[in-house]
Amino acid sequence: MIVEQFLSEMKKLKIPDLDTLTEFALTAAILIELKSRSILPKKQSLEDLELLDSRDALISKMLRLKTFQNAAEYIELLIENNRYSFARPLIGDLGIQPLKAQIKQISPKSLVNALKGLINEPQEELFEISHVTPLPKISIEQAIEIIIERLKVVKTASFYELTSSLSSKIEVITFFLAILELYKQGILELDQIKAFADIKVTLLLPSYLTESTTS
Amino acid sequence: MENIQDLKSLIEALLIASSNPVKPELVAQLIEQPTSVIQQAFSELVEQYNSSQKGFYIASVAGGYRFQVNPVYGETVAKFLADYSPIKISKAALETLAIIAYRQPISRAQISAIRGVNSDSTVKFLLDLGLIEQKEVDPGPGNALLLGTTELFLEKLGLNSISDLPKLTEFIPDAQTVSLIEERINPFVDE
Repeated sequence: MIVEQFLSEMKKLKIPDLDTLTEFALTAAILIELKSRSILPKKQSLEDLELLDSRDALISKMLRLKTFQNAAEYIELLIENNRYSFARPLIGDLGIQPLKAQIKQISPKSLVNALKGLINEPQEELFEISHVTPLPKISIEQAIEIIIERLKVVKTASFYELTSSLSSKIEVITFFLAILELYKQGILELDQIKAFADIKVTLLLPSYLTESTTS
Repeated sequence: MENIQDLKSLIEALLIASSNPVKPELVAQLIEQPTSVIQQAFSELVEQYNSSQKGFYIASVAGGYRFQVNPVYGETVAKFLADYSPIKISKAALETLAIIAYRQPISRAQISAIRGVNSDSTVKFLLDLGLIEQKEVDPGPGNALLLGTTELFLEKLGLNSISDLPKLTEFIPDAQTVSLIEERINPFVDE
């Protein structure tokens, strides 16, 4: 009897999905349990009450579910009715995409030709660099030479004296780096009384005077 | 203090620029005018737009207002919007959605108890669609995540707020269905 009911319900379903199948399996199991209890010899009326309780519980559960199923149908109806009242679409909205650019006119051949054109074009100066700080007219090596030559004559000089004739800040920086390099090499001695005071530059190693400064 | 026509034009400008419903309270805050004045302007504008036969109208949805296509022309608009394919929501997912809509905030376990089956897949599906979201954590034992519907849900259904849904009692099965269910579960049926 129960199996019959189960099968007739199953047949009614067009495409049974797993959830519905599970639901019916559960309900059928409960029915079988109740039925088997009823077949067993009745001991006490208490069991009958329990049986009725189970029955009532199951009925109310099924009623509750049926209520929500009805509500679900109504929600489906609302969604369906509102389906065509489009708003300005957001990207990734429920299945709706904004209009995409149509690029049907480009053929593979024209793409290849475009690429060929790019490759074969003579390479020209690609970068506009006028906005970049102009390179110093003097390199650090040249600065080193100048400083050495100067110090050969005066032995010691201040940084200010060495750089006073320079025309740009970049060149002053270059001279400063040159002095640091010479200090690192042990060719110069540097002296500064206090922070931000002028730097006294002294040439060491008089014997060095005859050697080349560039390595 | 702007005159009402200026205000209505301003609101029009906000409406055309926004994909989401525009809320009068926010506009009131934005331009520092009383909400009642703004609401009045909105109402007049809505009446203006909705009385004539236009391709679009001002919808009152999700607590705000928004230009929306007149559904009469919706089918053609749908074709115009390339790749339009409405997502099909299964009966199981709709069931879960209904339970959440009426019982929010509610946990996955509670949903599964009502449906009698595991509801995790339907919940995930609805989360991905943006129709539901996590609202808070249950303070009780287990710290279950509680779910509820989103503003998008209201927009998709064309509702202003959740309270616009019919009372759940309206969906209780009629007497005939009830007796059908009772008969099926009667353990004392004679073979």
